[in-house]
Amino acid sequence: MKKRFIFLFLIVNLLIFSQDANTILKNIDNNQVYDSIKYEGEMIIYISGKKYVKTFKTLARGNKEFFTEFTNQDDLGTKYLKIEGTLYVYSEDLEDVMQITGHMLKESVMGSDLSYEDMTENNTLSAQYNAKIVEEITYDGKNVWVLELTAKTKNVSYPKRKLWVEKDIYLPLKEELYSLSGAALKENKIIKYEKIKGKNFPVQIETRDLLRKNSKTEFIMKNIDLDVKIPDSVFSLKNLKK
Amino acid sequence: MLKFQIVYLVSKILKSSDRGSLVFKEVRSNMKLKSSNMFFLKMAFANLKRHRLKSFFTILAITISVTVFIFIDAFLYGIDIDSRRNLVNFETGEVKIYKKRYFDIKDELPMYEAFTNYEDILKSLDKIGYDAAPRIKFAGSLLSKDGELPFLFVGIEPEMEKKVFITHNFIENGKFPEKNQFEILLGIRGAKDLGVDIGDTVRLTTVIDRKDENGNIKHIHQLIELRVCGLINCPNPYLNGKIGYISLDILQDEKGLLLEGGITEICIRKKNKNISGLPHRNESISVIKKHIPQLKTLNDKNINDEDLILVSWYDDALDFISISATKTGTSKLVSIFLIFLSIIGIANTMLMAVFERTKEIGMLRALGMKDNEVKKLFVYEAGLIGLIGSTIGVIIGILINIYMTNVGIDMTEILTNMNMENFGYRVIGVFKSSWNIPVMIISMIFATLIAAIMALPPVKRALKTSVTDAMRFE
Repeated sequence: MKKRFIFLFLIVNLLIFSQDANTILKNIDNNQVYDSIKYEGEMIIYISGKKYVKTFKTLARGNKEFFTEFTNQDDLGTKYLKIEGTLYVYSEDLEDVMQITGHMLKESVMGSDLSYEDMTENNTLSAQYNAKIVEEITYDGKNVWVLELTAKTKNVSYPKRKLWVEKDIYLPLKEELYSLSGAALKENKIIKYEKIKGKNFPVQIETRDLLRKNSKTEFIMKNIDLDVKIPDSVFSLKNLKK
Repeated sequence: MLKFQIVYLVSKILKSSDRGSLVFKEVRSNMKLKSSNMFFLKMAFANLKRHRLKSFFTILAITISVTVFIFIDAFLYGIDIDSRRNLVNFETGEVKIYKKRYFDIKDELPMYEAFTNYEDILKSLDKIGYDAAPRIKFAGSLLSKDGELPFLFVGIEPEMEKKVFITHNFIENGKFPEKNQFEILLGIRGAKDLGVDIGDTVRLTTVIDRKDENGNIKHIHQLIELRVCGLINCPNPYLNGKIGYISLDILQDEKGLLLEGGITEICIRKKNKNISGLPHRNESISVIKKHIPQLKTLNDKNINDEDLILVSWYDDALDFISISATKTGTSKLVSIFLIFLSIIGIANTMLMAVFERTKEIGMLRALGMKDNEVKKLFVYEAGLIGLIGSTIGVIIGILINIYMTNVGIDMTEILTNMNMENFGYRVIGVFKSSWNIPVMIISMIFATLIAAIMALPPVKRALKTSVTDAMRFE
């Protein structure tokens, strides 16, 4: 009887913890989900002791559509468009629109630590993963939950993730992304966040491709405007060719 | 006998025009003979002997250009044949089976278009005398301590692969991958560029492409740790480069590519294959289709995207073959340019020869030879030069070709030093020529005809001069 009680207690406890972890995940999503966004960005790439700065303007609707146009001199006129989960690029050199598919998606975006695949990700974390709290620790002077995320299906880009989530604001201060085989591939850190329209929104993120040596990319967002009205014509191939 | 008399008399005229009137009568009396081709031929031959030095240099120019053309043509032909042979023996086999939708975009390596349940096809192929090797091809990168390089990976069934291809005979160090082992066989040049050797551990990163339940393509990041088990150093430079062979069975689950029994192609070769021969394009396709009717061909109507199709090695490598044909064409242009130069040389020599012999032309006309007959004489003379030159050229070309087909030239060092191991053809090491008899015959006929034709313009020009002016010409 005693054994059965202990077993039942463990199960209930596990369910409660599991429930909590998934609620945390939903709260994280709520912080980062928006109807639409408009911002100016800066991508600072540090690789083998060199620094490259790329600037751009982005318009996005939810997680499914975005339009980015690079404004720095070297990449002026290069545009990216994501619609219906498909990524397209237009460059002045090519003078044509190219769809980025297959193994090209693994390639780095303009030499950064981000891959095209990272740009095409569509769903919220709670839609893709089951979460589990593995630790409650202090990270960078803040109380955090360490969550382990396991993909609900076999078709998720990073089948495993680990998040260090600040308890007070439900923001993942650090994130590790893993391959299907369980190898750590990428690391994201939120360097700075701002309160925008009641959301704790990350505005400076540092990404490291753990397979690349001496490399990191800082992603900075400025002049952020959330939930703005963006015409449909922005997210069209016609606009990409303009 | 009379013909020789005329030749003799004409040569006398050329030595002493004083006796022209006497000879004129004699030649006129033998007008009938002048229409004989043999007469002109002998006269042309006599003229060649008379202008020995000039004839020698013109013949030499033709000989050199024909020899060079035959050498270059046979050399390129040899490379092309070897290249195609290596393509079949190392990369394609004789026939391949693809899913139609995969074949349409095969350059994108869409692993989401893999197919399963192919075991019955393998059994049927075995029954009708064909070996088959199931495979999956995918792109990714290999990481070593020194860095990361893009590679093409081929998932193979090791024992079946050995029956269809001959790659396993060209492993310089180590061994062929074994089943259930996380090991990789690398091209020797690719391994060198990556800074790895046998026994080293490399990490393979790739993106797995899968279709979800709604048919949307999803991409999953994967990293696989592998041990380098062998290095390929074969006559096909493509395999010596950035290519890696992995056992198919380790790619089936979450540690691999989630293939779950899927493959993207089956490579097929006759059991009693002749590796030094080049298979016919469609012969085996007809045989296989007859015995396995569910397989379609590219020529079939109403092919479904999901159908499995038989593709010949030629159609599979059509892009490569077209590119190499262009390259061969470009190289042939160089040799044609050489011929063009020699044509100019022949034309120039003929121009000078005819110009210097304006007086002789005038004399021949004074003796009663018609303009067309003068033209014929010089055309025969030039044609003879072309024939002798090209015949010698063909003989020398054949002698060079005997050496080149049996021994060849080892280009390894030259291409390695120039960093050109993969120069577009699937061949490296000893480059051998092949026999291209039709081209030899054509080049001989062509050189003879060109030389003959080149004599016409200067003769026509000389014939425009009046007989008296021509005879006074110094």
